Amino acid sequence: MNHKHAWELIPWYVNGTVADSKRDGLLFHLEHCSQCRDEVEAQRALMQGMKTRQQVEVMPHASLQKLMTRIEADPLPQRPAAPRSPRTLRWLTAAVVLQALMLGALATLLLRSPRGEVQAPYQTVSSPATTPGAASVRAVFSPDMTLGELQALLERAHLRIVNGPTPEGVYTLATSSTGDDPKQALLTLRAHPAARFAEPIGR
Amino acid sequence: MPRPSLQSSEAREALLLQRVADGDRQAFEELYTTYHRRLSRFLMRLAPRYDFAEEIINDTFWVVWRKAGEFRGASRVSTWIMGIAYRRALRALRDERQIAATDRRMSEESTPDSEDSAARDDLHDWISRGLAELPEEQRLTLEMAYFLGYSCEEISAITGSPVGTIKARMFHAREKLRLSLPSLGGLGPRSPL
Repeated sequence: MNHKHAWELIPWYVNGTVADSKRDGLLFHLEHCSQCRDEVEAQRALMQGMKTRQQVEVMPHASLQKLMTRIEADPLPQRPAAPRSPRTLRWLTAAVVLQALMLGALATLLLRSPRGEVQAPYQTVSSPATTPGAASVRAVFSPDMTLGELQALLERAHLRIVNGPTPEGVYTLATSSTGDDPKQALLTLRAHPAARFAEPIGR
Repeated sequence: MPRPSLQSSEAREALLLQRVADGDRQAFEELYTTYHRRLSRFLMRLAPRYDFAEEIINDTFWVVWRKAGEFRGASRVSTWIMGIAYRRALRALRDERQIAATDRRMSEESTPDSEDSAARDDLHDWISRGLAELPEEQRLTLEMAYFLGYSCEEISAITGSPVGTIKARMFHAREKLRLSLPSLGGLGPRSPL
């Protein structure tokens, strides 16, 4: 490595980001070049001087509140929705009708039952989520799984992340659209070797 | 680009950004809090006023909120966010310099400058003074390398400038500091090449 090239690499050597392939050549040059060794020391001193300055820590809460106020005041333009197939539209229509019927039935039940006697419907593990598209699965994946693999799996299972990962690596997932079957999504998840845990969320 | 495992902060941030693209405010707040400390410390080095840092951070995250859906994963999330912050900071620094230059002209007209005031300052002050005299792009290159610890290639991606340009900015920054720092305090080494 010649002197000019070594000189150019010094800042990246000092901040620890010089490529391994170049480090050996630079170290060899430094052994023989006092000018570059002096420059390494000078740049180290500069970096330390820049890093050790006392910093005032500012909590983000107040600034975040200001930004959220700005966001609330200027809502996003409608994000383009994914094109829906005629089949999805039929499911959506059916879901809306079903929801209306269920709301009517619930109102009747509430009017007839004395306070506190309304029984929650019994749900088994295999029961489909009553609100399509709402959070329906909790899952934990192998830490070795890559982001791309997770994205591909979620796409295949028609799931999206609505919360997480928590520090323990727990994801809360929901079906991507109202027509998707959470039971099928769960089976797809469980079939993947990197899925360590996948259970429906109790309702 | 290396494939991040789910354990990496890179993967976590990519997932958060996906949720932000879906309009998830909780994910947005999490991402904001993750970056606030790093960005505020960095920006307050450039101008030691929190309102300066806050404005750039909030402008940056305003863009993040609105453009998250356009992120296609061509770079790391951190590179994308730091790139937005860099462009905002560069513009703000230029504005700050213009205002400072005007203020200086006005104060020079009213009060004579003390030539030996630099001698009373400590190490950090004369480093700050040397850095403040650098052109904005050179200063930001040096700050990103020494304060934030980015590699030459990462700075190239953040700033959208070729690697050769980053190397040149770093080279010229070192040259200028060599000229200014000895007169302020005596750090500068001998002439390089």
